[in-house]
Amino acid sequence: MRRPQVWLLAPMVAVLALTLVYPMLYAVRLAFTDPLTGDFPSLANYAQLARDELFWRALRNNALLPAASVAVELVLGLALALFLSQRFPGRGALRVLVVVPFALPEIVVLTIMRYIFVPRGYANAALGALGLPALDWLVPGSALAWMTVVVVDAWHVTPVVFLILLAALAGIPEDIREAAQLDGAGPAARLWRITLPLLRPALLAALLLRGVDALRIFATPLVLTGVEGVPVLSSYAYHQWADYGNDAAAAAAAVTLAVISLALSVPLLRVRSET
Amino acid sequence: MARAAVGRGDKPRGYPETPVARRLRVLLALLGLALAAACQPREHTLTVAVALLPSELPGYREVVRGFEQESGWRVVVVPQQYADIRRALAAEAAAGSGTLDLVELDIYSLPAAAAHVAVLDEAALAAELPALAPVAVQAGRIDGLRFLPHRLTWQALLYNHAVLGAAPRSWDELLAVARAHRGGIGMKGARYEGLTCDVLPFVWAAGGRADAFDDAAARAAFRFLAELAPTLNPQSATFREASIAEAMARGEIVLHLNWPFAMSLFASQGLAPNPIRAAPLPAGPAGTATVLGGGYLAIPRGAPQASEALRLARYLLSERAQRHLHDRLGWFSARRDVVFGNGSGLLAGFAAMHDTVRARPARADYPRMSRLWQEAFRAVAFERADPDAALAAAARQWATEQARTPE
Amino acid sequence: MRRALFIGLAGAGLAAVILLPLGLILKQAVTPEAESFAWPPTWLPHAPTLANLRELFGSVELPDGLRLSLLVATLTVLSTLALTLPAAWLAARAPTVGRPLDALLVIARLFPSIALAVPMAVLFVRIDLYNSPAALGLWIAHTLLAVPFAFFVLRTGFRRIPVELEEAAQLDGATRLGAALRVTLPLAWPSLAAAALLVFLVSWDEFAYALILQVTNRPLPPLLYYFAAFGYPGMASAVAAIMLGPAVVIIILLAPAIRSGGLTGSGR
Repeated sequence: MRRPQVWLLAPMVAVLALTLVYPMLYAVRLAFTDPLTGDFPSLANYAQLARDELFWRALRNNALLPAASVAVELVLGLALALFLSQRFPGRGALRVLVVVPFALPEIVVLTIMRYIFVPRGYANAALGALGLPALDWLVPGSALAWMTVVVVDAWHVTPVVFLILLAALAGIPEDIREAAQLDGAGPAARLWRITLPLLRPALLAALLLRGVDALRIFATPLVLTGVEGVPVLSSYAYHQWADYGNDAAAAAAAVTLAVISLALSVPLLRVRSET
Repeated sequence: MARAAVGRGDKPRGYPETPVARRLRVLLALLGLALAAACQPREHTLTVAVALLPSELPGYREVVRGFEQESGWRVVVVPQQYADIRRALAAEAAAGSGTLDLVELDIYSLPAAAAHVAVLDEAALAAELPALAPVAVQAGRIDGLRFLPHRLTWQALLYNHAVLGAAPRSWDELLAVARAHRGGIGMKGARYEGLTCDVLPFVWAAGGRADAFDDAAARAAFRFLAELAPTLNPQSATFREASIAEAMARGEIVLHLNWPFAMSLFASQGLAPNPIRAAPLPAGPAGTATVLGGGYLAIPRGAPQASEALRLARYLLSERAQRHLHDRLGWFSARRDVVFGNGSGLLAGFAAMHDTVRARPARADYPRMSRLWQEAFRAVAFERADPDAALAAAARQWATEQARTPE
Repeated sequence: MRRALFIGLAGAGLAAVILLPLGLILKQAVTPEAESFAWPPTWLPHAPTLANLRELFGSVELPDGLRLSLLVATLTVLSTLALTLPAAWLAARAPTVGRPLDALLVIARLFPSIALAVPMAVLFVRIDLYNSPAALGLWIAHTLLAVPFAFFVLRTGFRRIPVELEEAAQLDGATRLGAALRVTLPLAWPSLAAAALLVFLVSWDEFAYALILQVTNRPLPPLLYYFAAFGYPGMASAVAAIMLGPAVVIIILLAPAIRSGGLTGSGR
């Protein structure tokens, strides 16, 4: 294109800038203003957060939870994509079914998952029927609570990874796989040596997409366990705002999360632009 | 999609209108119709925001229907939590106009909300005011009469009669029960005002005060709570009113403190009065106490239909409405002619506590005070902190914050 | 033979994992509340009832919430498409422009809703958009959320339409833009449709902004949260079942695209 009509971008970029930049700047201002005295700049809010054990737990979880989530989703999404690229009857229907969890409103997913995983819920009822002891799926303080949050998130979000990898798999020519088969390579070797390397760009795209999204996790731990159960920075910020009416502390936590997200996304962006 | 041959002015084959697109057209048309149908004009409508739980909604709407029939106005009841109502009220006050005609606010936040609501015309309330308990009316006078007592509630001990037999009547009995049924006692331990409502009764029952973190009574109460802590159900760290009631309904816990709504919830499940009953809170060294809760009605400054809103408020304070609310929802009334405990043995435990109800301090910095109690309790209950140390830390923090606040 | 068995089992297992929670929602929606608290819980309702749904539709909040959700979703589709169509076309035709845009959009995606929602709430109070009866503030937030999705879907769609078509039209005397409008846009209709459906879904499902920016005029997701967190399983599940409706409809509409593996709303 000889002279790109850049003005076509203007409305979109303008709206994005306004809705992103303005609130963010306001949040930064709130975060560094002392709510008791009105001083600016002030670290009073961060001092309050630093005293709060829940904030540190939220910080830790915000690093570990997304990492675990993305890992689980990549593995599951890959397995699903590989499985549903095979030819068999009903494959089309299964493909549509697999996408359904992602289309559901997340609050709907979380509502039913909570009823499944509460101490006297469907999951423990099933275990009991099999003669197995009940598990502390969502009990605050149990290690399992953490994993339950990861699993529920994976149930909801894996379809995205699946779709990306499915499209990429469709792009791998049949002949390469057939050639490898003829050469005597078993399915595991084919997967490792041929399919995965060819999928690398798609895997990275999925990693970037999900990695960035996973940091924003909010409703899942909030609804499943309550903010005190498995805290993350976003639910912690919401809790400060909703339960305590403390705008400034909420903004401080939110700004922390934004900074972490930005910091982690820079290397990811760089990887993406190289692929 | 196949790349088709390009011809001038020719729509290439290979890009037919797909089924997706066709279905979408139909969907859009339907949506347009639906939206048009749904956008109806709102004449003669009052919007009232009340802190109702979903279980209380139908009962409340029944009461409101009486007003609708009498006045011909439609009343939209918006159920919300007090914190949300406060926020909406503040937002509308800042904007100068809004959609809410009548709001209910929690009793301890009245000072903070006074600036956002209108002063009421006492002459128009001549019929209702004398019927209300003077103490209750007085609490609503902040720079003039702004708030009217909509309901009063307080907590009682809810216990599983089939598992426990009788309710524990003293702290010692409570501890014995807790140790005999480990994980059976629940407390609303989430970080919110409800936790303070569970903690203050113990502090008061030891002879303490809400603004004294470090005195002997507070320390006695917290030492008791520290002994109770290992026996608490671990979900207590995140329990709130509704989730703890749900856990009780499911049998995950057998004893907890809660408001009357929980008894209505259990009754509708066939769980009350058997096996779940209400009893007074166990007595501590200085007797027994419980926290006063409840809501006050106010008319926001920017209310669209202020005069009609006042009529609705008067209706809600009438003997008929208050009696209906008491019978149906277990709300206690500030009206002297609606006596609590009538008509339902379910609430006998609550009624028995009537003389021991105490109000939280009505001061603007109460939320910060409350937060310190919450932090101290959580440290003791869930982090096994030393009770004296936790209280000392709370006292220090309180002193620091008091010093920083400009006068 | 063994392969068929493995595929059968895997397929059945997959279907079960996905359908079981959905089935439980429907089951709870028609289960009387008393039975919902039973232990152990029932897997099929012993006494199915429509009482939960009846009570819901008798309440004022549900139709209002439904109307608000529909309104915001529709407005979001319109505004998002209006903003992203020209930009996506340009990015498809001029890759040099596309790259910095990618970065901007990734940044837009990564900002946590909370980080923006709380200051937005405070800001909106100032300009009287907080808790707006028509959820105008929410519409703005949803547009922000939906733009990256729509942009990528539309750009992918435009890329698939050969440039030669526009150039051919230009030879006929049309301007570059005119060519795009008259030739490319009609051909992009399937992508447009897919993007519209996706944006509708994003807005319909969205929870965090709705929870924070609307308090007494609530769309469906925060309403469901209120029922689920504070109330009965039956009513909560009934609201959930209603919310499933559009999601299922949209999946059915997008099914052909999913089956053929052509719907990849991101990246490449």
